[in-house]
Amino acid sequence: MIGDRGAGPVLEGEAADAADSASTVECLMRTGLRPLEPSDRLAAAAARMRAAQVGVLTVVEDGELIGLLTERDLLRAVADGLSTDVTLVREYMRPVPCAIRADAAASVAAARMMELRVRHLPVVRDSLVVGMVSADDVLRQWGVPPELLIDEGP
Amino acid sequence: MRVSELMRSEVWQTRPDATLAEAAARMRDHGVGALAVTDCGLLLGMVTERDLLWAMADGALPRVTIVAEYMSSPPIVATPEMDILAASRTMIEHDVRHLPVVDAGEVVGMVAARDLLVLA
Repeated sequence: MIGDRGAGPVLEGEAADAADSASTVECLMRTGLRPLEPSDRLAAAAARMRAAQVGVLTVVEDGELIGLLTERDLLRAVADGLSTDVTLVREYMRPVPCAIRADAAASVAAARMMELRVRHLPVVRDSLVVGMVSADDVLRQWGVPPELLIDEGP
Repeated sequence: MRVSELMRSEVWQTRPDATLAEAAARMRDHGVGALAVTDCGLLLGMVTERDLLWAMADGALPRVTIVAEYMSSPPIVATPEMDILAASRTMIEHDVRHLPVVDAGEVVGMVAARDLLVLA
């Protein structure tokens, strides 16, 4: 998906401080996932998400990023009682919410996700989509090693 | 198909007075997105990735802030006999991704949106 165009509005999140570069979106994002096409079946999309262990895939048509398909969208189709062997990605994909800059701080990404009520944001650099960042990725920042917690006072 | 056939019977828990850092570390270590918040065996609520994101966005200090301040309570629950289609509708309706499975007042499992996607 590197080089996809059309990510929509880019949030002008503040860039992380240089000293804090380990917690920029760029260090946390996932790259290199093959996008879906709108004419793919939901069952195939589900299989690809499972195989890649991700909760979202981009939907690209003619090189343009036109939407996202998340686990939640698949769950909606299931809850609607539809056959995912027949139903197309096009029918359940959602518009791209907003992109975030690759140099934005992880906490900015967290705030945007909460604001938009989404768990995934496309990451852009120089107006190209270069990856996706998920809530899990952002929260990895907070995964404090257990050995450090042992001597933490009350 | 019933929830009991798909649920995970190991339920990772945390206490309401645990710090968010401890909760985050536990989620990461066990590869889960939600923990049941229990006290003396009583299910008080759930703390999920989403709650941690709220805290992070608020600028809360993860080693000082406790789970009780950010958990979702009361929890939306499933029962073992519940049909999984009904469970998926409950998740959509309440906008949650995890349902603790409760039987006779006891937490016996957890079912996540990802588990239900075997249907997809």
